[in-house]
Amino acid sequence: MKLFYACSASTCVVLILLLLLYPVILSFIRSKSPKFEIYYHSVIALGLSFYISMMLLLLSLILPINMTVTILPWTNTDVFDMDISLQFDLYSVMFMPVALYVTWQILEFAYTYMHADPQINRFFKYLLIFMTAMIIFVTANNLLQLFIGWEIMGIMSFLLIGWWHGRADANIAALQAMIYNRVGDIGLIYAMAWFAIIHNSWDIQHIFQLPQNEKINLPLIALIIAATGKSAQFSLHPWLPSAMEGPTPVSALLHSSTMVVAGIFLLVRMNPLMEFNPTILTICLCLGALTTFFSALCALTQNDIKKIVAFSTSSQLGLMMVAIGLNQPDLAFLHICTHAFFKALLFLCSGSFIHSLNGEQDIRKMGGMLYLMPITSSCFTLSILSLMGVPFMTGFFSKDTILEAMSASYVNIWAITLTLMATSFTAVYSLRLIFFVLMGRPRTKPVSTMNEHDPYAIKPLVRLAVASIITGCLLVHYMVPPKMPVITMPPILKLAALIVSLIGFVIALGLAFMANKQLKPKPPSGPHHFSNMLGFFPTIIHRFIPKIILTMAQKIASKMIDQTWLKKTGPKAASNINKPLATTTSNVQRGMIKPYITLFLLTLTIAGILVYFTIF
Amino acid sequence: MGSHLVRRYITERDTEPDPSREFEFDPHFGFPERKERVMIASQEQMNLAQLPLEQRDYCAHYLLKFLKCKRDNWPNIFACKHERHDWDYCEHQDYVMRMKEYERERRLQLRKKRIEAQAKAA
Amino acid sequence: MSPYTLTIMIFGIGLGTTITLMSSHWLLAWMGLEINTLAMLPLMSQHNHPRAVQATTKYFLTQATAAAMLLFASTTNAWITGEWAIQQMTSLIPLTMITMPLTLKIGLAPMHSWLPEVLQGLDLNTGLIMSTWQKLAPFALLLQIQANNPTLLITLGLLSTLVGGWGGMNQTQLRKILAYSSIAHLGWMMLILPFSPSLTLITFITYIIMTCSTFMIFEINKATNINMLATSWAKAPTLTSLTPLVLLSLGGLPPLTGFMPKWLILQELTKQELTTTATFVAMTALLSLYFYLRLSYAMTLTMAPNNLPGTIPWRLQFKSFSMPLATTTMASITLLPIMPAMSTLLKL
Repeated sequence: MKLFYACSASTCVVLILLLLLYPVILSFIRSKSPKFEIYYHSVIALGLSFYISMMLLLLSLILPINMTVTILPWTNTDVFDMDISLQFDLYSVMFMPVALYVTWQILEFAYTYMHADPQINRFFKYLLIFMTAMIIFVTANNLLQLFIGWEIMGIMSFLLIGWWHGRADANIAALQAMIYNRVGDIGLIYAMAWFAIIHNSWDIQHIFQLPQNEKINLPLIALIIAATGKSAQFSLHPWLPSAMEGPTPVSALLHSSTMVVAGIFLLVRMNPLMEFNPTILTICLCLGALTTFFSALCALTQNDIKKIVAFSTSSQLGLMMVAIGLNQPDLAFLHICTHAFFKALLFLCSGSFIHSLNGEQDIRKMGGMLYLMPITSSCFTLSILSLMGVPFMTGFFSKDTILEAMSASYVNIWAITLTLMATSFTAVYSLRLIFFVLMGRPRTKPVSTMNEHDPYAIKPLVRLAVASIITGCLLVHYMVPPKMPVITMPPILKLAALIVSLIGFVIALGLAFMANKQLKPKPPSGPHHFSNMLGFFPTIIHRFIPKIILTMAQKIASKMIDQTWLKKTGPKAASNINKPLATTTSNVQRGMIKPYITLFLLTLTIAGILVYFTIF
Repeated sequence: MGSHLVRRYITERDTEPDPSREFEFDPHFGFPERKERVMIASQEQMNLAQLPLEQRDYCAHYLLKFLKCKRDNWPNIFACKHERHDWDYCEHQDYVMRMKEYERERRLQLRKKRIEAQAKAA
Repeated sequence: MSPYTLTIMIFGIGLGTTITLMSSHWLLAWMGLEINTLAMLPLMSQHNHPRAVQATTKYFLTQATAAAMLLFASTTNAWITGEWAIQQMTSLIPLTMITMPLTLKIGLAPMHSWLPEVLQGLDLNTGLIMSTWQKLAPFALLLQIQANNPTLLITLGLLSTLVGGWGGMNQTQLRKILAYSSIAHLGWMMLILPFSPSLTLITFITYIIMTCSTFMIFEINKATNINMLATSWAKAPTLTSLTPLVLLSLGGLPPLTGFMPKWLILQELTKQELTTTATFVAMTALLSLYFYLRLSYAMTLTMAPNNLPGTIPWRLQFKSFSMPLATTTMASITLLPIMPAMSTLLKL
């Protein structure tokens, strides 16, 4: 039975990888392919892959066991062996269908969004390569395999953010993502080096079984740094909002549902190393709480629809990090899966709005979309409700559980407060989105080009909307959590998340009506600036620190050392001192014989006097 | 959330027990007839089911039933409501028991402090 | 100038110096110096050019002053001590009074001012005589005076190296530069005179070798200022490539001959616990090195843009390579290895 499971599971993964790579290889073989050929192939490949992964998921219901399949040895040296091996546990088996489903819908949607793009074939190729890397990443049982997947995802993220590379902003955003991700990569490479040196193995299951001591804090912190970079946690977060310069399908796929959760996924994978390590867990908890609060705060006053959604993504990633910090990796993973659906939907709906409004992203110039695009608007509302954690929507099952687990635990009160505040902020900016985009009267340009006739644009939305409603329930029923979450608590704690969300909602509603009436025509206040300028974080990190470094380079290296010490006091000083003396020496030569003879007599006299008085 | 945090950080900082450490007082103190709880699921059963370490608690036998039910009803993931509830309820009881133990420890700590204060005063 | 006169004059120059070198009596030594000076004067003014005449006049006046002072000092010495012998000077004042005119004759700072101007008025051959042979007689006298005042000589030596360096920096005229180079070298010699006269002799000999080759190189190139050196690549390519070595040898760079005297002098000064003086004089050598480098640069290390006629000498046969030039050039570049032999042979 086990053998059957192992064979079928690895066959499934290999099949999925082949299917995903088929259109890519096809484009290499055929130099000139019709415009949408790659698109058709990729949609079919993704659909098939999804069904295959579903089979795997169903199989795993019978045998809910962790299994490692070593396909073939990779390198065998005397001291260090490496195998290509796949891991089939709850995480990889469950994440694959989720990611494939979301990707499938997004790819289908991208047809509408990108159909005018001349390089559309390459676009889908990039997405497929990305998806392949994601599959490699989640199934890897070997740190090197994991790292390969991780890096390909990073590169694809870079290429796709900079898709419209004619725009300076897109290039900057791509570079920014690259640089921040490199910081994270250094963490992962450090951890890999540490495991290779100390544990002499890159096999993840081996690493778990080796004895742990205090020293393991170092690689664990490195892994947290890796997750911070990839999952845009606080201090390495600015690249995620900037990444919204890319096409909306890319934002939906990479920067909300799949790639950015890789960091959290890494920590979920590595959780056995950190579950008895309070230091590391506390770091995760505080980092996550700070991220979720800060991002929610920044989302409050943004006006760009994609920026708001991006910050909400960042906030949800922070919530996942909080779950890791609570030592509940299953909840974090559950949130990864549920979040993928409703966040992808949210992005696709935003993309749909933006596309219909000829690229307008400012929510102040939208409004009244409820009447113009009813289906998209409904889906939008659904996804937002799911995001807010309205009971029995997908988001509720994971978000509420995390918050309950947190409230019932005896961890850092500060982190708990921040997270609850972030939850209420979620309600505030969600309401703000609905209020500005869907409600009221249209503030768009008079000539409206919007329509909802294109089935390629609507079908994915509807499918994802259905998923946003039911998958939470399905996943919870499917999953038997290896770590039992706390289920016993007083009603007030059980309802805490809902209560704070409601409070936020009510306050936001009041604020919205107040804003309409303009009771206080005052300029925006300090906290507003703080939120609107993203906490001044990019200003400080991207401007202030480089400025200090450049100023120091100019003042210390160039001016002080080069120009003063090495030039002014060296060669220049020598020349400046010697020049007047050389001039004086030359000035004695005036062709007058009398001074010469006088000089002789003078020297003679002085020497005579000195010698006479025996001073010499 | 609220009350234990207030006690820990403000009102009872010296006596509030730490749940991550072993309790100080003997379980039989005041309950001489109390017996140790017995695991119903055997080690062998749990090994066969490949349960992870965290799940090998006093409710493991319910979990085993639940898992068996799930396997029997494959692929209907909505089945086994009853078994799931049994397991959850057992976990709930377990939690309540643990909380009671915690409360006992807390009060015993308070009592000890009170007795010490009286001894000092006398 | 007729060949007969020239012969007599050159004979006079030789005779005067020889008399001085052989004498042990101050009066005879003075006589030799006078004969030498008087024979030199017509040679200097042989071109009948105002500048040459002016140089001759200046030379005459300074040498006459020096000779008068020398005579005065030696008579004073004879008056005080009753002794005419050169090597028996004991009285301090006459000793000082006799050192000064001698240093004036060889052109040490601060009595150096006549030398660059006189040299500038002469053609390069006469200049060569002026800066080598003419120094011989007073130099020999200075060597012979025993018990000289070291402080005085060190002061004069240091002043000379400084003035030689600074003066040469500001010059574009080759003969003036060579005059300052001469001043600087004589400064080195004076510096070591009180401690090791044999080192002074070694320095003098190497200086004569190096300065001979330099003068002859400039003579071949017909160059009297730095700009004129720029076409030397067309006239004598081999020589052009060797010249920097000769110049750097003058500057005292290892492993060239010019390094030998500086090395030995610095070592000797250090042995005499005059480390400060040694450091200082080594630094002043850098000043001189600067203008030697500048000459090398202008001549060899760069190829200045030039008009077409300037490159014509390239096509012509060049015949005036002489044996003395070859000998002195090679000697001024490669003599360092025989340093032990030289310092043994020239031990006074």
